[in-house]
Amino acid sequence: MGDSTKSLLQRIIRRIPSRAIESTLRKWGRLTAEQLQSIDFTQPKWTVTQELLDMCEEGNWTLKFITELEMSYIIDNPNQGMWYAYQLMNPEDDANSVELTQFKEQFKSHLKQLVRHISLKMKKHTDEAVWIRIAWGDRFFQPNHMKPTYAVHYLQTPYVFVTSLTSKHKPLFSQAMTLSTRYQAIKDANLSGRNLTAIRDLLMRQFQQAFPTKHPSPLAERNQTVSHPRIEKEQDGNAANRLELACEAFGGGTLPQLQSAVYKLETKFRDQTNKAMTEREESFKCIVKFASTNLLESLRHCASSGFASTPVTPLLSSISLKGKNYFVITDNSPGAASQPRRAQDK
Amino acid sequence: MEGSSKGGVLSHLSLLEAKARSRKTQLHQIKELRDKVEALRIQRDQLRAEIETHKILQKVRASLDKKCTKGGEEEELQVKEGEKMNEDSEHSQLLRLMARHTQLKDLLHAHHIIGGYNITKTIQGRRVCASLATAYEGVYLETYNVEFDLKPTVRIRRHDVPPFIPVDSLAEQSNMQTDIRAFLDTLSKYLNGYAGRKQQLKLVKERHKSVEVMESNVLCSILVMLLTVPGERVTVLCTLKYTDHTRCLPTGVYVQCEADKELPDSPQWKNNCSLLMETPVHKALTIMRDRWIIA
Repeated sequence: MGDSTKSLLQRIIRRIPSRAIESTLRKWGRLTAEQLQSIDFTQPKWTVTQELLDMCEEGNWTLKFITELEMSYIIDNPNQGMWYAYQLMNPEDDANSVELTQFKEQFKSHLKQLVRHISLKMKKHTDEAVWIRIAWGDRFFQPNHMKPTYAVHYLQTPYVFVTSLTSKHKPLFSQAMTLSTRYQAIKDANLSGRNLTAIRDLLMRQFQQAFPTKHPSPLAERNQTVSHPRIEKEQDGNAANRLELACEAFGGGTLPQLQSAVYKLETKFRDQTNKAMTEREESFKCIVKFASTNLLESLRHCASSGFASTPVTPLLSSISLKGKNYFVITDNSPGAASQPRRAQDK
Repeated sequence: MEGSSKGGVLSHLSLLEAKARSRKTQLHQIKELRDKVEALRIQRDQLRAEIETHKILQKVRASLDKKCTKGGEEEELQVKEGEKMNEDSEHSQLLRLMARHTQLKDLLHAHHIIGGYNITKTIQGRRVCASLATAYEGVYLETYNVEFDLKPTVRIRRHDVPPFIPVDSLAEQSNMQTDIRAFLDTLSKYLNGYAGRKQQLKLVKERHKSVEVMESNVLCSILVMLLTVPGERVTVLCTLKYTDHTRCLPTGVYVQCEADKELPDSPQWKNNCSLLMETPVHKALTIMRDRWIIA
């Protein structure tokens, strides 16, 4: 047990960047003041790791301590790895009154019934999010702490955000989740990204959206730059109009940071110059992917600067509107039809 | 002699020419003035017609207002109106519509003043955006927006209401095609209830540092607090459940005490429970603190 504890600790420290180690350890709270002071954090990481491993040996740190450290680090730095959003469907009558303790107990008992060896940790964060860490084992093997699944759920909302869930464990997780939250089904919400805060903000509607109102929009007030009275910009009106439409389509202010949008086309090929392709009976399958460090910001800038025509096509504005970034487009529905996505194999 | 008489004839001719020219300009001026008089007359008639329409409109509007407030006197007024409007009976429909339009505009303005919701029309009437304001204890809180598509059917296009308020199921329950107001009223109640509870929680955290909030949720429909009784160092676990999401007061108050099992049944704590049921939690806690019931 000691070896696996040590290797887990090593792995966790390796994952934390050097500049964040001290604050993470401090926040963890399991080290005494003297122990913290005794470590020289300016040394190379390898040395610090060794010191911590020695402390682990001396202090007889359990797996519980180490997983606590990992969880505390992930909660503070959630914007790494790939997060996938799921939506719970068809609530039962008492879904709205599920309490925290009830949820925790139900989830634990359901999961333990399904999987023999499992290590589960649940923690409530200050912003009402319930963080769940699952280390999966099975009938023959102890829980594997090296590849835990993390899930975040806000009670009384239908969304669950998950990272590192393999296709093998997905049905087990889904069943436990639906039963403990008192819903009937769970489906893929077709939204994924590296930034948990971004996909959460998108689904929980916590980003600034622009709506038409009688009162002057804050955008107009902000953009009133004092310019020379004799200079009149011809394109000012058009530019303001484009900006307004762009903000209406994608949102105003700071936008949630998405990295990609994927459109899977299953439509018939339409190009009169290419008879061979047009005459085919089957639909032309292709995938269009937009990628960027901040996709919504780029798209909004495209629209406001005139690269993309305004009013913005519903294919692009659906990203913000529906909170999705995976769309399947067929001939019948040129909007955003959603279909289950193939599970990612790890 | 010839020169002077020529000069005389020429000058006479030029005089006559000048007279003729001046008469032309006079005629021209007279024509201009006549045109101006005509135009002014047309304008006067137009204004008179507008005043008449406005007067009739006001009468129609008055009758509409009376219809809304009292049911019975419509018939009398309609008879009177019928006499006056016999001449322009084809316009009566239009006038009625115009009166209704002004009535609705005034209603919307009144709604805006009392902090209800605003509706703005966009894109040539194909879409409508409603802004619902929330307030608690006289303080304006967040504003939420819902945008509707009006054609082909009335449906919600987008909104910024958080997902724990069931906008879609509320929309399904009320018939949005005929009565959008019912839907907006219900939604406004839910939003105001939520905003009120959220504000209460914020005030509890700000003003009562000795009270520890053990559990709450995003919808603010449950609140579990740990209260300390001064002197005896006894802690009481107090649970408030808000099952009616349109209200700011709890529907259930439960009190538990580890150290003293009898405490919840004592008359003092029964009083406290009823106090918590009837007063907003931050005020109730202040009262309890002033009475030295809790620290």
